[in-house]
Parts: sequence; C-alpha cells; structure tokens
Amino acid sequence: MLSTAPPVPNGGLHLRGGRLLDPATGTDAVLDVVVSADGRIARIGRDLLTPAGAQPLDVSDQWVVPAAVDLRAHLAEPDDDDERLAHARWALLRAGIGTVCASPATSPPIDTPALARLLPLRARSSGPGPRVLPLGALTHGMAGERLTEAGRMRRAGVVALTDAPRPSMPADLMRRALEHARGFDVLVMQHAEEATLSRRLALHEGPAVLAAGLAGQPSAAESAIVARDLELVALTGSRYHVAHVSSGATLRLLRDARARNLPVSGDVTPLHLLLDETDAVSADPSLRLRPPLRERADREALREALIDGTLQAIASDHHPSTPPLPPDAEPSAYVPGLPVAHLVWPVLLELVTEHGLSPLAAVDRWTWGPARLLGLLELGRLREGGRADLAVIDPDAEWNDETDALPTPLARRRWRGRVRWMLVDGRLIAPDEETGTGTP
Amino acid sequence: MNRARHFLAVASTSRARWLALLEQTRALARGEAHVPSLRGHNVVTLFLEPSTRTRASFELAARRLGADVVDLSPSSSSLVKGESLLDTARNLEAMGADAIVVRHRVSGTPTRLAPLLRASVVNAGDGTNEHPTQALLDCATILAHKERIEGLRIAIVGDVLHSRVARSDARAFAMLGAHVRLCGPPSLVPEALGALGAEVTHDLDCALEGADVVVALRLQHERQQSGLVTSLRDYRMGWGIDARRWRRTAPGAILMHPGPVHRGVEVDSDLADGPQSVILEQVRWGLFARMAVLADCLDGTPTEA
Repeated sequence: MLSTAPPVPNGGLHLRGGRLLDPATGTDAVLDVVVSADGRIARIGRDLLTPAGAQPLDVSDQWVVPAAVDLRAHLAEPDDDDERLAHARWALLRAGIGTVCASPATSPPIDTPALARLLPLRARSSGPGPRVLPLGALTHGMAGERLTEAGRMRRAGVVALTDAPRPSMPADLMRRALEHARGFDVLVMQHAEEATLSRRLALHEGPAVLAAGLAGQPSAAESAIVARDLELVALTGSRYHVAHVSSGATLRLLRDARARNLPVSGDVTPLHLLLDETDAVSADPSLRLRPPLRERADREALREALIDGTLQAIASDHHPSTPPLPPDAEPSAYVPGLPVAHLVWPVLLELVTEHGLSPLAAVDRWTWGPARLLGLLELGRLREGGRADLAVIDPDAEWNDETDALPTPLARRRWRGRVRWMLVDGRLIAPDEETGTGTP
Repeated sequence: MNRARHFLAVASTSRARWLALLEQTRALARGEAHVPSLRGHNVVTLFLEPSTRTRASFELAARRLGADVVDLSPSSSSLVKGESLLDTARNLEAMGADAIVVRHRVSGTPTRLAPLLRASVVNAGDGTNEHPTQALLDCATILAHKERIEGLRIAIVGDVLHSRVARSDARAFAMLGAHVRLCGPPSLVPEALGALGAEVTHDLDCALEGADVVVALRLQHERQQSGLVTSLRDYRMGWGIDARRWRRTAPGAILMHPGPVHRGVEVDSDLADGPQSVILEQVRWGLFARMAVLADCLDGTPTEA
C-alpha cells in the first residue's frame, strides 16, 4: 500500500508560486522550484518556465520548506514487524519530516553498532518515509554504568548519543562520555535529570501538582545536572546538547554558557511548548512525561528561548502508540511519548502568529537548526543540485485530530497549518491521502 | 451514558452542593431530617489501604440508610492477585453495586475511575490528595461550636504535604470564607501549597495567633527516615502544640485532629484531652456526614435490582 507512491514524474516537477523559506541562506521569497526526475533540485528562481515534460504544481499561498529533521522520535522496537515500522515512518512523513533520529530507548536499548545499523537498514525497505538515522545509548543497557563505544557507534551511523529518558549518570562518567564524544566527534544529547532529586517522578513539584496531592520533582532536578555538565563542558571542550529542556532555570544556564562561548545547545518538544503542570494533573493521567510538564512561567520561557535561539531546535519526542496509564497509575509511571509529530508545524505557526517568531526562524528550528547540530549540512536546506527533501505547507489550513490518540487537553483543539505535499527520496507524496498515492 | 452522582473531592464540589450536604448532615444529627431510604441499594467498600475507622463509619452510615453493604478488604480482594482496579470495579458493578466507596493510596484514583463506571464513586481518601467526607464532618463539627465558618481564622498544623485531610479541609474552609493558614516545617509545608487558597507560614506562633480553630495533623514516624524531619523531638520543639502555645489562640478556640493522635508529638496530651478538644465529636459527626453523602449520591430512592 505505502510503496505505491509514484516517483517524481519523468520530466521532473515544477513547484510554482510558493513562498520559499530556506533558513540556511536566509531566503524568504516567492520562488519556483524545479525538481529533476532523479529527485534533485534543478533550479530555484523567480517565474521559471516549466521544463518540457515536467509536471507543474501550483503551490501559491503555500510555504515551500526543507523537509524537517527530527532530533528524537520513537519509531519501533527492534523486533517489531515491518508493517509497524512502515506505519510509524508514514506518520512522520505526514508531519513533514524528511529525516528522523530514532530513539535508542528501545528494548533492548540501541547500545551496540550492530543494533544501530538494524533500524535504518529495515527502514530502507519499508516504503516511503523519512530517512532514519540512529541515536545510540550513552551507556550499555542505558544503565548509566558502562559507556558504549562512541567510535564504533559513530562508524555505524550513530549521529548522537543519549540515555534519554533515563536519569543522568554520575559526574565522573559524564566527564569521560564527553571526552570520548569529542574524540569521535559525536554529539552528546543529555537527558538532564538528577535521580536523587527527581526520584524518577514524572510530574513537576509545582503548585498544581502539590495541591492535587501528587508527588513531583523540582526543576532543580534538571538544572542541577545542566549546571554540573556545563562545568564538564568547560573542562573537556566537548559539544553538549540538552534534550527536551523543561525549565526556565535550565534556559538561564544555557544562555550564560553561550555567553562564555561554550559549544552548547538545546531542544524543546511540542508538548512542553503547549502544556503545563495543570494539564498533567487533570483527570487524564497520560500527560506524565519525563521531563515533566512544568509551570506556566517555564512554558513561556521555553517559547521565548525557541524564538531567541537559546534553543536551536524543536524535537518531537513522538511515540507512535502509547497505551493510556491505568486510573491507579503509580506516581512514577510515565508515558515514553505521544503521537505528536504532526503538531510541530501547528505549534511553530502559532508561535509565528501569536508570539512574533519570524517565519524563517520557525522553519529553521525544525529543519536547518537540528541539521546543523548533527553536523549534517546537506539536510534541512534547499539548494540547487541538492537533494529535493522538501515539504509544502499550507499555513492557513485548519484541522482537528480525528484519532483519539491525544489526551483531552489536546484532542479538543483546533490546529492551523498542514503538510500538503512531501518530496522525499524522489517521491512526491500527498500526506492527506492515507494511501500515499498522491498525484498533482 | 454515565449519570451517576459521585463524591470525589472538595475541589470538584460546588459550594451549593457542599452547603446542602452540610445542612443534611446537621439535620440528620439533630434527628430532624426524614432519614432517606437506600433499601435495595448495594454499597461496596473497596479499601485498598488499611483503615478501620473510616470503613466502619461508612458501613454504619450505609446500614442506617437501609442499604446492603459488602466489604472488600485487601486480603479478600482479587487486586492482590493482579486483577486491575478497573476490572475489579466493573465486576462489582456487574454484581449490582450502586455505590463504590474507594480508598486508594494513589492520589486521583477515584476521580479517574469515576467516569469509567456507571456506579457512584465515593472517595474515602485517595493518597495525599483528598478525604472529602472528613472535610464535611470537620465543617459540621466547627458549626456545632461556631456560628459560621465565614471569617473564622483556621490553622492547619503539621505534615500538610502528606495529608489528604489538610487538602480537603483547606479547600472546604476557604470555600466557606474562612482565613486558612497552613503551618509546619518547610519540608512538609512548601510555599506552593498556597495554591489551596491558604496562607503558608513556618512559624507556629504566627499560625496560632488569634486562631478560632486549630486542626493538628498526624506526623508519621516514617518522615524521620526520609529526612523530612530531623527528629520527633526537634519537630515537637518547632511545631508541637502545647498549652503554652495554645494561649495565643482566640478565646473559645477549638482543637481538632483527624486521628489517631500522636500524643506528645504533634499535640500534647493535656490539650488533646482538654475542654478545647473536639476530637471525639468529629468521629460522631462522621457517621452523619457519610449518611448525607451516600444518600445524596444514590438519591435516596431504590433502584431495580
């Protein structure tokens, strides 16, 4: 079913009249794009003539943007069947994602080069979908005790190392992890959580959580680790990335570190930009996340940080299917993620219309920003001669999520911004059509 | 589909319903009210945390109203064998339970369970969240001694962080217009608890100053092991209520405690047994409060079996 998506028409494709946004070059203009039959961008320019044999596609009033680069999403377990993997990739494709870094928090965790090679290999034969890049575990079994082989993992294609969402490891081990990562030029993506402070709780210790008689972890469980790690970054000179930042305190530390010229970065998830602790204590228990949803002020600070570039990327932390937690779920129970990749564009567009994020910066945080963090400078951009990994976004299309996969505070929402076309691997796909057989 | 009337938390109860329940509680105690009949109704008590007094109080209340009562104590509960709480509750419902009185150690469980069931769910205490019938009986106790709750100064002293009684009481008292102060060590009374509609202070003398009502909370011995209190002696020195400190309260102030009292720790014996203590009265009010709640949830009219 999914493998029937047609390749780019024989004579190529001509995207006409769209608003092209390419953060790598700072381009924001009405420009045509001609894609050749081999799936490369042949030309970008004003009012181009449709080459002979090429299929014209009117995309006026739409955004033509690079396909998104997602720093973290859960795709499938190593022994899930092909169909599951294909559906997981299809869901990400519909969200406008052209490249996805697959979370290593599977069972077993991706902690060896052989395991790291498996998913990308299988993805290549599972129909149209984003390119899959593996993330590797920082420690064996993600147990926080013995470091994985950064060099061999890198050679197996691993683009970053992370133990998310397990609590952070002791300081001496983290120091070594940063040193090895520097030696092999691989990014360390830290899930900052001091286990003795967090007690592995998936709620924030804030007014709403305390008033509801629930136990939570303080923001300091995150920022104490980041403060420690930044000193280790100063010591080792390694690149350091904080995954899913949740608190304003962490953002202050990251700003200070950047002022000190330390090579640090961070990302935020759509759920942390949309919700706060009050949503997590509502009757539905499935919004218990790690890191937890914190206070309204934290949410505002995260929005600001994504806008001013303190956070360089939005990462989905998408999970294809999570069974809801039972009514009597323990305080430490949490969901590894929710199917939210398709909310990223609407969240970014809302920041554009409501909070003054520039359109170019919005595109950057979901494409070129994460590509740069990974050192993958061919991705997340649009240029002549480059691969035509692109998305056509209708920024004004309104829609509702018809599935019941989202928890109540999100299920009722109306979203604005929708992926109309995806071009990946030389295939043109209309994500609104379940079959993936879209033709212009 | 789901029309059952639940009683889950003070936080989700309207002021009008609260006042009606309070009035009914008092009328039942005066022997003035026509006792509603729950004949033909089945009430199940599902206590997944040890309790004798609250369970007995609910059982007596249900029997007084003519309902049949089945108790599921943990030893006989299939939950021990791994059945999920939801499955157990649905089975009870299938057997004809009209109301399920739940106590659970995880906060929020009754509230999350209720929409999944057709039976009425009555919260008999959930984790450290709420114990709403206790708040109802506490309001009734106060009204037996004070003309109104509005405008009263009420101090709730002790381990507020781990107390469902404190959360329900604070919400109920604040809803009725009282000035509520929460007091205890910073480790057990974080500032964020002001979200309950109360003032937070760590100074006991300030909390007791001019108080009309003092609710002392039980301090569990475990708090020492987890480092939340340094020692029981230290705790008593800072936040134990004794006769000397009691002098700061308003004339005619009353002392309440949800029991069981830890004499010589949170409150001294001579105070707990003195004329200001209404601790045993609270227990008496519990019966009427729970009768009022069960009758309200089940509407006092029998359903077809």
